[in-house]
Amino acid sequence: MTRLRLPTAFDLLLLWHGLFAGAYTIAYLTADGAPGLHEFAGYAALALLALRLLAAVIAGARAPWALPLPRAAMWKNFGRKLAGGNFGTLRGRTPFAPLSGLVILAALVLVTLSGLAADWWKWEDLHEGLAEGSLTVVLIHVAIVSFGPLLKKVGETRARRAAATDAAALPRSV
Amino acid sequence: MFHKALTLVLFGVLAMGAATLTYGTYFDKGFAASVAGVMGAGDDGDHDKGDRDHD
Repeated sequence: MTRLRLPTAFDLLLLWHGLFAGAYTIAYLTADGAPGLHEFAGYAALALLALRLLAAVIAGARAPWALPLPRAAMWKNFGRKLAGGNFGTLRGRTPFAPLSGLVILAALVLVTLSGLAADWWKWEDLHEGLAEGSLTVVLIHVAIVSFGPLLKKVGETRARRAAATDAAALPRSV
Repeated sequence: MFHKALTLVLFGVLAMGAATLTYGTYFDKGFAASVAGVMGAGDDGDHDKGDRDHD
């Protein structure tokens, strides 16, 4: 029987990511041809960002809603492993993930606030420039966040297959 | 974990898409224009705030 449970804080953060990704994508796609929908998606993105920052203030240093600050100890540990030739540390979560999270949060705050300002003043060019630049930041963030875990998963699958092949090759005792 | 993350993120994207289409259908330029707009094929520069019947 399947047991229902309340969503965890991490589930809610993933859901927030989805809602924000949706608002950002729609705002990007509607920028030229559908101003009404663009404003709706832009205000939704702004509200979601405000919610994220408010949650970070309330959460303090508690994961997962705390601001993704890349800690010095994390960088030192990562650098020491790389310097020692341990490239396996690139698999899984690296300090680049929280760094890219922080950069993207700052970039998107600028994009949404400039969009809000463009409602009153002639700031469309600034808003458009920031939004175009933010797409690159978004793609880099997605690549960094997906690449490490994907490498880890590929490594685990290969190891599992190799173990299964070895087990099959062993002579069976009678 | 990866599948769960992907599912939740896709759910969020779909929810936001549905909310935008609902807004566009009732408060902007109607369903067809909203679908075109969300797909990046909107063809309108001016925005009639709040009312799509303007004759």
